[in-house]
Amino acid sequence: MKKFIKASIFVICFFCLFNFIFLYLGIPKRPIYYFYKEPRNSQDVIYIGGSNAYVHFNPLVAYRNNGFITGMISSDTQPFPLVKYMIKEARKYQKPKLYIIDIANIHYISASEGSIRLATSHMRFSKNKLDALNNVLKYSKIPKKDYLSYYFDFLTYHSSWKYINKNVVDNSELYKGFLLADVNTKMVKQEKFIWNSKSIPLSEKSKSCLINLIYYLKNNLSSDEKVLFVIPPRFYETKLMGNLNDASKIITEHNFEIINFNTLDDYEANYTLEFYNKQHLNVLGATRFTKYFSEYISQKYDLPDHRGNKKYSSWEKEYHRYTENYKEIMGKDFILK
Amino acid sequence: MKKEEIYERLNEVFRDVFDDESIVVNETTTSADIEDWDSLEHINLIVAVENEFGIKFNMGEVTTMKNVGEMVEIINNRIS
Amino acid sequence: MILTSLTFLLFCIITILIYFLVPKKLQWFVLLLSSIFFLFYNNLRVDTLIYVLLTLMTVYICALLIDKYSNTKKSKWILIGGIVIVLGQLSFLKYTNFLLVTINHIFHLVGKNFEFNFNTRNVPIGVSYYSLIMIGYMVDVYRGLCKSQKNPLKCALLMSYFPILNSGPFIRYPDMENKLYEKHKFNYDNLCRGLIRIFWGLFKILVISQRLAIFVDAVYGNYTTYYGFYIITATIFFTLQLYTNFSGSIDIIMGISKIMGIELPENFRSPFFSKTITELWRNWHITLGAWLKDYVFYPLMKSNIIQKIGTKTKKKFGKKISKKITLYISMLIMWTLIGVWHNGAYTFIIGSGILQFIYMVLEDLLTPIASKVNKKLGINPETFGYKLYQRLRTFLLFSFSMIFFRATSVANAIDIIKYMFVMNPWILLDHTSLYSIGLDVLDFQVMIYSIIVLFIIDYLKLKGNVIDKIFNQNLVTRWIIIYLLIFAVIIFGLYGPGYDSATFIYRQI
Repeated sequence: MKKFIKASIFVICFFCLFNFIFLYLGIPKRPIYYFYKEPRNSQDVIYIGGSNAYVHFNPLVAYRNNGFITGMISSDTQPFPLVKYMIKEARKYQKPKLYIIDIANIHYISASEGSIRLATSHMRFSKNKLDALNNVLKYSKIPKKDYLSYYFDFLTYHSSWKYINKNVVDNSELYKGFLLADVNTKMVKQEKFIWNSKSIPLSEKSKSCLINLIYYLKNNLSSDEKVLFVIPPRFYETKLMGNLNDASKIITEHNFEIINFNTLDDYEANYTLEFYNKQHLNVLGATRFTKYFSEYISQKYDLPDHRGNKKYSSWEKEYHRYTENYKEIMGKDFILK
Repeated sequence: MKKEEIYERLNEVFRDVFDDESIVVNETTTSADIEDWDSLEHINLIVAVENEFGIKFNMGEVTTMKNVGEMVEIINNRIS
Repeated sequence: MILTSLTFLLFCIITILIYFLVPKKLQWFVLLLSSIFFLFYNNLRVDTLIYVLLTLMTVYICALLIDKYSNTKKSKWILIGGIVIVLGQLSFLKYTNFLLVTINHIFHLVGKNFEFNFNTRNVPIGVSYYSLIMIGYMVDVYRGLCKSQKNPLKCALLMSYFPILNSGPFIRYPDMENKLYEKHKFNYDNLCRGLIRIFWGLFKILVISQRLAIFVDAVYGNYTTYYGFYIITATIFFTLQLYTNFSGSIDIIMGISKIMGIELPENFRSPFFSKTITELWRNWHITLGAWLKDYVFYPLMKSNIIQKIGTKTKKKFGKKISKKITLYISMLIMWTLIGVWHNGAYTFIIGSGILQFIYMVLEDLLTPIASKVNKKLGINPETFGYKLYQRLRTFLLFSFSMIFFRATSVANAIDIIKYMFVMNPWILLDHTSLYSIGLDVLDFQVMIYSIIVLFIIDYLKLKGNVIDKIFNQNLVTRWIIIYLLIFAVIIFGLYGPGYDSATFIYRQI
């Protein structure tokens, strides 16, 4: 009996050590990692998407201007099949009034190793994670022999001991999900982009993922939970643009809202000052975009205003950290007005 | 044949095989007591003993005998 | 089934669980079933199954008959018949190709252009081991060291016990009789010791051997570019790779068997601390040497032919020289067989056979001269310095012979040796050359430190049982050591798909 107890303690200590070590042996952290750190049922909006989500929308600006709390569940080139599972994951921990779904990655069905890992690696171990992995791996070209290393990350990440410094330091560039780093402080003039409303049918797989998502939303969300699809302001290749038009049609046919930031009357991205590459707004562009968007959704969906509430002091702190680092990188103060 | 006679003849064999006229073996002598008595010489020794007494050891005995005393026992059993 | 694969892990866990859950008198039967499963999983097909069954039936029947007709001439002939059949099927499976290649060579030399072809058949896993083990069993019965096994299934277990099918060790029936078929109660101590041994083996294979392999493959695959000291380094690394891979596999196997309560004989005893090649082979692949000594060397030395040669040469050259001659002839035969056993190719016959023989003959001849020289010069052979010199010399000589083991052919080996004689020792000292051969600085460091740990442990093993020492420590120390070992394997082991940090820098950004 004594031996059994000793052995059990040994095994438990082993798992504790294992988890501790693998906090530092892993991949660079993306917003989804920080999603879990927020208190339960504290978020009013859940924002899902690829890099266009967390590089364009700044939850701190939204909070400062309109007072609502946003949870970012996004990662670079988030594979579209995963959106449904991300929403499921969100609903485990939060009860938001609004789900914003950025569909710029609608064509991204066959995902690469990097995008799958960045999206799923930080998910907590659960049935949802297994389902998500099953689904996204099925669509990908990842060889079957490597599948196990997606379910059991340590099979790959143990080798990251070589990069341990980079992994530990990496997290400070995300501010409640929003990225502020050298890369998105640059200003690179782009050609003005004009939206073409010609529709190109979605691929079979994209369409089925979208329909699947729509039916999930219809069947599971209550009348208090709203959904807003978003096409972010940026450059699009002709085919993708055409696909997004087709997607818009399908979405509206199913009575869901969708905003295309490339065809609005009262908002237009500034292609001279507000981009750092073809597909992404820089910090200036992101600030203006967020101000516009947060004002819109705050009114339309009647989102609460938590400013002044001591419960959300972490947001004040993080905003402070953001403005400090902003000043350091940009050389001038962050101006909200 | 009496045991003393066996030991006398054995002494001769040992002295011949190991080139040492001073060797005297008894019941408890083992390979540790005689320099050069390693596993290679063991075989030469066995053959010499077999030739001297006109007997044959089987391989089981060769590999398991622990000291000269056991060897003498086997020789004794074989001759009588 | 690769020893470090997840499939094998799963297989072992299931087998061990069932082993301890069934009624104890069925335990050996569980082992037999799992061993049969293991054989089939490793590509045993109908045509090769026949050879396995043939060996089993031959040995089972012969052993019974040898017992029945013991002490008559009949038993000797039955034994010989049994050996011929088992050796025959082993040779057919392993060496037909080699034989045909040799025949083809001879035909070419003579000018004829005959080309025999033979498809390398699927060889049952472990055939090189179980064939010799079963021959040993028949001989042991003949020699009266044990009684024949009446139960054919139990006999089958001796032949197919799955831990040994991969890389041995060679087991003996008199020794295993009381272990394989006995009842084994689950023992917590055995579990712990077995697990530590398994992780030590995994450490040797996944952390050290896999890394060495990367370097060795790169250099040996491109030795015209990586010449001189690259080849010397790679050769030394290959020797270490072979050692860690082989002894690591043995560690895993011993650990698994230990958990089930079945002790297997050791195969390695810190071989690189040996002072002569002769000593090294008493500490390297111990059970192979023991098998050949008991079943080939001794019978050979006792045989009439050798004895006749002995008496003839004694008359001509005197006793001392005639002893050497008979000894060397027997050794040559034995070492050629060892070479052949490793594989049917000249590289193995030379590298792990003839060359070793030459080393040992030279040692035998030069040792008395060396001790005379030492006495004259007042050199003390018991000092640390002298022993170090002997160990380094032994290790380097052994490594040199491993060039043949690693090369793809004798011509290839000679070519590599030619390219080795270039002076470029600076590659060892500049900070880039060694790190551009598939292993970066960090990998190299992990590898070297691990090898140092390996040698420290091997040295400690000379002084006593290391696992015992660990168990004698207090709980905290024990656990720290064990956790360090386990996490060293998990973090630094080369397994799983690789991690490429380039995959994760900001993408599409």
